[in-house]
Amino acid sequence: MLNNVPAIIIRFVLLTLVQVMILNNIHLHGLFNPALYPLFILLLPLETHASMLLLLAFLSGWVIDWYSHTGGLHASASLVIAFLRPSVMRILRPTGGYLPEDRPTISSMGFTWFITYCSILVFIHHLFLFIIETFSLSQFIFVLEKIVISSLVSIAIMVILQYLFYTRKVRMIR
Amino acid sequence: MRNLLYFIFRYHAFFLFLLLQGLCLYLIVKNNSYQRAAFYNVSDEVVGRTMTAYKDVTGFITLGEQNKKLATENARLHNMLPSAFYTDTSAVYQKKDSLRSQFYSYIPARVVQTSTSFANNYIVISKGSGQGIEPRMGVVGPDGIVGIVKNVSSNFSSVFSLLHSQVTVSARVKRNGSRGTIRWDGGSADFVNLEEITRQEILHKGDTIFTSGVSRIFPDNIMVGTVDEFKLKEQGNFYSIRVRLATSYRRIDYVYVVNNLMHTEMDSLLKKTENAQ
Repeated sequence: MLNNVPAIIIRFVLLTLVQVMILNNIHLHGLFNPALYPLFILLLPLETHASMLLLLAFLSGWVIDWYSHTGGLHASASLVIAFLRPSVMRILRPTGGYLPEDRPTISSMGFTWFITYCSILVFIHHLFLFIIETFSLSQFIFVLEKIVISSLVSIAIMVILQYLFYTRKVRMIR
Repeated sequence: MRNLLYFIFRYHAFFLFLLLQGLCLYLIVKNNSYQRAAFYNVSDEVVGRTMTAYKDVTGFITLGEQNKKLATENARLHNMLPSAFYTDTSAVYQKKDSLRSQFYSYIPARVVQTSTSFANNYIVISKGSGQGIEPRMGVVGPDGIVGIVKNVSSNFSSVFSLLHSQVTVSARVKRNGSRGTIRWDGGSADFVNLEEITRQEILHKGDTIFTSGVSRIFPDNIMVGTVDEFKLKEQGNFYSIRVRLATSYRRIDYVYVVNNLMHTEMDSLLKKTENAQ
């Protein structure tokens, strides 16, 4: 994990910047507001310790909260998926288990694995985020629409980013 | 104790999660005024809904008795309506009653001029100071609220209609009694806006809006209009509600000027209160 630290820090800064500078300014009829920063938690190395995962998730969410003046809203949603990530990984374990060189990316684990992994966690993240944000059930249908549409857009962006940035690099390392 | 420590150590990730989640909740409630308001209103909403459901059931049981009561009351009110006595003179409708003193009296008048197409619209009516009309009296029509008297001459008065930027009227939603302010923002002569209704209230299209009776100008329960459209404002806790006016200013003809007989008493009371502070 240690030799990955610079890459993780750069990824953290870039994802945060894209989230804060670009995605936070997208509001189409208040209907979708995609979140990219959960990708940081999704892409942390497989062997990352559970406590480390929680602390990093809290940190990444909290930074987003500073910029969007939401107190601890994003930190809270990030914590939820960081907490659930080990369980989801266990459920999706390929036959024979994970190999030491495996990474939670498309290039390493394959498209099907990544899209399942990514969809489950991103959907939970958005569900938690938007329900805490509205904090009532009075506009439930609208919030549900917002959750589904935002999740689909977020997942699409994450998959596209994988193909843009990670494929070639990982192959070179292997 | 050793077991407890072992337990905490075994599930330390879960406890860390709970701890950080608690911190998040604290940050959310502390930093965000909306969440704070909602946090303390959730319990109110639950209690309110339960009580409404309870009232619905008990109300149904006593329906027959309620109907009889309402029919009697309706008959009594019909007899008291100014329209039951209507003659086109400058007579003021007052009732002699030794038990209750009259709160409002109504002076009938006819509209001689009206406008709807400006940013500030007014009406001229055919009664003035000679017939007992004074500035700041309310004006109502057969369909509902009309406006507020601005200036009087000896035989005519000018009335600011609701379609005037300086006129605000306190109103409430009949369904739930929530109170707001009626204001016109220009635009169509058929619609005004109802402001300051909080997002906790449940609204429906077609809800009727009445005057609230907290102003000293209009009596309670004068029709203002019906809810035509409503949506939550982007920032904050309030609805923006478009109300279709009950009164059509293009067709308005006969109106009544409302004279609050206790105006001076209420004024002096308010002054006393203000001076005391």
